[in-house]
Parts: sequence; structure tokens; C-alpha cells
Amino acid sequence: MLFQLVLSAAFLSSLWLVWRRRQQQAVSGAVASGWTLGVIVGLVVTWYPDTASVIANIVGVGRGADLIVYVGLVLLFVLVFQLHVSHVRLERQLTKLVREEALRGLENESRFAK
Amino acid sequence: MKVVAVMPAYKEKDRIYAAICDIRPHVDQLIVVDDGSADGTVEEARRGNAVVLSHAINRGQGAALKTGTIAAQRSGADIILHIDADGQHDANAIPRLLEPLQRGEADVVFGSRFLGVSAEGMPFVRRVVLVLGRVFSRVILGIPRHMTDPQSGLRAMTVESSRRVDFQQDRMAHCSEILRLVTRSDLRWMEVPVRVSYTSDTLAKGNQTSDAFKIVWQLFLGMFQ
Repeated sequence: MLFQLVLSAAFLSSLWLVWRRRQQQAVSGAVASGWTLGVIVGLVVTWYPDTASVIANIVGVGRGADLIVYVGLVLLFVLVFQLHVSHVRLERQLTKLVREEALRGLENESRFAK
Repeated sequence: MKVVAVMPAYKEKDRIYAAICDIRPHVDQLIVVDDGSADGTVEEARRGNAVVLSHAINRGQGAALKTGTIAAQRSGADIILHIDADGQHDANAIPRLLEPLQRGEADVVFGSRFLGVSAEGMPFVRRVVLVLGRVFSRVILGIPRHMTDPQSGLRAMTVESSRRVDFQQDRMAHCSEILRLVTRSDLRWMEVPVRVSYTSDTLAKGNQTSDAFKIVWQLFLGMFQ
């Protein structure tokens, strides 16, 4: 019971935060809706664990706990990949800055006029 | 036609001066882009009377090459030559790269290690990896099958072509990206044989066999930018 309460509080807090960010135009409507759907599924599975088994049987995984682990792994993979992509984007912006600075030195190169 | 060589350099203090001296007779101007070395590479490049630009921090060979290419465009180059700073490339091959461009027969010319001139000291494993790279380039990147050396760092192109070949990869994957951009465009390209000499020094510092996986990963991530 305690675990379910803690988990529900975490879910609801995240939902509150996401919609607050939505109001501040920090996240898109699609992201907020997707998050809401995820939270609803999370709450249902938290309070009625058997529903995970029902879904697991439908998709052919077997146990509900296994399904949760698989879904968690996929979500983590997507998250890590997104982090990689955004890391590359930042790296390229950094390169642009470094390049602009380096090219400024071109004008100072006396041999440039050769 | 004004020929400008672009030489990205990182920790090449011991080799860059000799490389510059070898290249100098074949080009009108030489731009060295120091990629954040702290070992005296800049001083050695200046001793060779090259135009030296410096990246404040290391950004990778592709990034340095692009910085140098932009500098060459601004310096009024007609032909831009990309060449390594470690002296691996035989400078005597440079006229062979330039001639088709000067005669107007090609827009981009790549040096190839697999067109009859055998590379000196190329380890067997490197040879195998390059063959696998060729297969990867054909199957995944769609590089034409008659391209013999997809990872060659020695190439020359007209300045107009360099403006169209807008590569973004900062690190090792720039070779494949340039190749893809060129072969997917209507630019006229060709390969000419070049000799590459590997020494224990350059092998220790240059691309490692495991870098092939990094290149694949960088290309994959690049698709999402």
C-alpha cells in the first residue's frame, strides 16, 4: 500500500509539472498528452497490477512484471538515444563557436595575403 | 589557378614541418588548422610559413577540415586540397589530383590507396577494415561500387564544389559524409592512385581499427540532426 501511494504521488507530481510547463509553453501539447496517457497507464497498473498481466497476455509476453520491465527498457533506450542526439547538436553548436573564433584569426595572419 | 592546401593538425609537432615542406612546392598557399594541440604544432606550422588557424579546443578532424575549407574559400582559392598533417600522403601524388581539376575534367578528385599503387606498411587488419568499410559504404550509404577507397583523406576539389559539399561531421565520419554528398550530387568526381606510407608513429596516432564502429555510430546519429 505504501509503495502504491509513493508511486501515485510521483506520477501525479510529474503530471502536475508537465501541465504547468505546458501552460508556460515549455512543452508541446503532444508531449503533455503523451505524458498524461503514460501516467494514467502507470496509475492503473500501480493500483490494479493484474491489468499488466492482461496486457502482457494480449501481447504475448507472459507476466505483467516482465511487460513492465520490457516497456521500461524501451523507454530508457529512447531516452538515452535522445540524449545522444541532443549531445551531438550541442557539440555542433560548440564547433561553430570555436570555428568563428578561429576564422577571426585569419585576418591577423600576415601570410594570408600571399 | 590558385591552389590552397588545407591541413587539419592535432599534436603533430614532430611531423608537420616535414609534411609542409613536402607539400609546399605543389600549392600556392597552405592553411594549417591546429585543432587544440598544446605541443608546439602551431609553432612548427608557422616555421613552415603556413597560414595557421587555431581551434581553442579540440573539435575533431572533420571540424578542423571545414574551418580550413572556409578559410581557403575566403582566401580566393580556385582549388582546395585536403591533406593529412602526419606526412602519410605522398606529396608527389598532388599533381595527379590537381590535373583533372585544372583541365576541367572533374569537380572533385579523391586519392585512392587501392588503384594499383600499394600502400607502404599498411597492416593486414587495416586493409580488412577498409574492405569492410567499402562494403558498408556501398550497402548502407549508397556509395557507387566503383569507388575504391571511401576513407581516403587526400582529396581535391574546385572551390565551387567545396561550397556545395557542406559536410557537418566533426570527427572521423566526415570522409564518408563528403563522399556521400559528392556522389549523390551532379558533381563530376574521379579517383586517382596515391601512395600512403604508414609508420609505427602514424599508426599509433592515427585511426584505430575500432574507430570503424565510432564512424558508423556518428553517421547514424548524424541522420537525426
